[in-house]
Amino acid sequence: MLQRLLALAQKEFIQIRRDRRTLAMMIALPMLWLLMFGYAFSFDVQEVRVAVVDESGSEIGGMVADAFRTYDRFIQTDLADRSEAGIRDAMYRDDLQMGIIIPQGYAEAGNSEQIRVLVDGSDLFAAQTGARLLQSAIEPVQGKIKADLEARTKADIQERLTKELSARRDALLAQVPAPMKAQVEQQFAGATALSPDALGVSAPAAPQLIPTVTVLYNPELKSANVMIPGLLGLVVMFITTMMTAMGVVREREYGTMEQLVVTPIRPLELMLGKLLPYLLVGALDFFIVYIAGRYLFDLTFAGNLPLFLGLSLLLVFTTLGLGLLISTVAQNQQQAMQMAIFVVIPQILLSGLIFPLSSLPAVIRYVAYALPFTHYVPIARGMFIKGQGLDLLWPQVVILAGYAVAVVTLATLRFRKRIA
Amino acid sequence: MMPNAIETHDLTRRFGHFTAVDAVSLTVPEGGVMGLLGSNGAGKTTLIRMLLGVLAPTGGHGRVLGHDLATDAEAIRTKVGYMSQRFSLYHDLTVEENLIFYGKVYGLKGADLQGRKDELLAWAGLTDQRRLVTGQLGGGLRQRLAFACAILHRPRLLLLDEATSGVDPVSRRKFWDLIYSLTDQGTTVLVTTHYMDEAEHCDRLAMMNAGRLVATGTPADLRAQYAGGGGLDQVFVTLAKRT
Repeated sequence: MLQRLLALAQKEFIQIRRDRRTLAMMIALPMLWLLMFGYAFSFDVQEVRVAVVDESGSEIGGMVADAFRTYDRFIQTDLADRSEAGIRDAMYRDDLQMGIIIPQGYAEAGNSEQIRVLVDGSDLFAAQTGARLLQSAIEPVQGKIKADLEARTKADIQERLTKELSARRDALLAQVPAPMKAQVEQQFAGATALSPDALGVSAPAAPQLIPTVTVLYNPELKSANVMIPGLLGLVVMFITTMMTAMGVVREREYGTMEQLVVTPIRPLELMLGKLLPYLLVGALDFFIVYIAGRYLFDLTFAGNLPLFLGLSLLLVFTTLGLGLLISTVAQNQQQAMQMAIFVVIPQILLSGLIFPLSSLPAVIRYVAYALPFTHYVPIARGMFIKGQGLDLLWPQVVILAGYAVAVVTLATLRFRKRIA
Repeated sequence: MMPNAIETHDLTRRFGHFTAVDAVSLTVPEGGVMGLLGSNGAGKTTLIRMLLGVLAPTGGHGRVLGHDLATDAEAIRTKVGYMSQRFSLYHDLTVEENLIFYGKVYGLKGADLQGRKDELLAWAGLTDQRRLVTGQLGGGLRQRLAFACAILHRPRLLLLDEATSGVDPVSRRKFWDLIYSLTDQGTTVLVTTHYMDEAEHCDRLAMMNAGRLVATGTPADLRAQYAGGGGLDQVFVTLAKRT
């Protein structure tokens, strides 16, 4: 039994080694995805291209405009036409991601004009980042604006005070007999000394608008930290599903399956002889991504590594089983490849690896929860980033184990029936 | 009395409403070459697959080398060699690697495996090509390699299903020399073919038509009985017309 199994596995490895395309896919694909997910698929936008149009003509307006212009994460972009139309035109040409307009009369007394910001929604992540950064950009001038506001409030109160006093004096003068007028004048002259400062008037204290944020677990908010743990599973899933399916179907296409079934090889041996090599291939890819993640992206693994390997094995059993199931349906290698992609892509897209599950519509979310990979992503992330253990992850582990048992059983039954 | 290599009684296989093999009772004595003739769809391949224990009969029973084909398929597979017209080889493995793989699958190991491999490479005339990738071989050489793979484990019975189709006449000639070299050592060979010139090479013939066994005998018997002394082609046509 062991000899036949080893003979099958050895033969499979010779075939893998001879097939340059498969070999390339095995090694190059994880690297390519790693680079894509690690670098290119970065959702954290560092800099936003911004243009500021200051139409205010006021001192505060100028200060705010300068704050936006000197903020280091806003890259200044020149406009041919310094107006809203100019901003819209530049955005249409993809020269600009965000435009800021400080309207005429901004921050003048009695003027309620607000700063207007235009962002390019087609550049989703830049738009979100830009809008989020507005507060931080304006922070340095907040103090100055406050002082200015205070000065203006005081001047305003002073003016109203003076006006009120003189009105009362005039009214009083009109009422009192002439001999008393001098006395009234004298009294009011003393009152003019009242000033907002003497009354202790100041501008209301502005609430602290910028909260102090402490990020736990991924302090730099790097997407690589969140993507690569899931990517490990993704690569292993893709390779094992696809290669198992193709490996079995290839035997049928070449007619060698017909020969194998008349040898003393038992169906179970044949199945294991097929799965074992691809399990090892999957393990190799797992370690390529793991090592690259650790040393290329400085990822740390916070959890229990042997446990993580064991749980990853649950995913691999599921995906090997899926590959085997595909092989019992597909007629040729091309069909097997198409079916493998059909099985794998929804799992990638809906797993929460790329798009958060909470952003999915309810119906799609149920579909997502029906896919095994969806339950692996929280395990990988939780263990990598937070060092979570079975006490928290057990629901996912139970579901994944259930899938592994169900898929492998079903695949074994179908496989035995199909080759007989 | 010589034991029989194959004995079947009313062996039947239906696929839905279609009866591929219809109550075939066939006896193949040990030794010599038995030819199983019949046009495409006559049921030859289905019969062979049942004899190998790969396909379960829906009726009747049979024994191959003394083992019941319904219950003892595993024992049959270790003693029977099989080769089909597809020459089921791994195209991306070398000639030697194919032999070693099939050898290990049949439980050969170590010096025995090496010795058997070299012996068969010489026997099939493939010693010079042993390091070539199988996909690069021509049809005739590939056929001989498949043949070598099928007899690595020294089977007592060899089933060749259309194993000669698709190769040139010279290769076919060499192939028959190899078959005779096996029967000389006592192996029983069952070949299916629709080449009538090949049927003449057989010691005994069995003819199938529409799933039924319609005639058995030596080539000379059949010619006398169904073709009035004419060729086997005539026998074939006569028997095919009857049903």
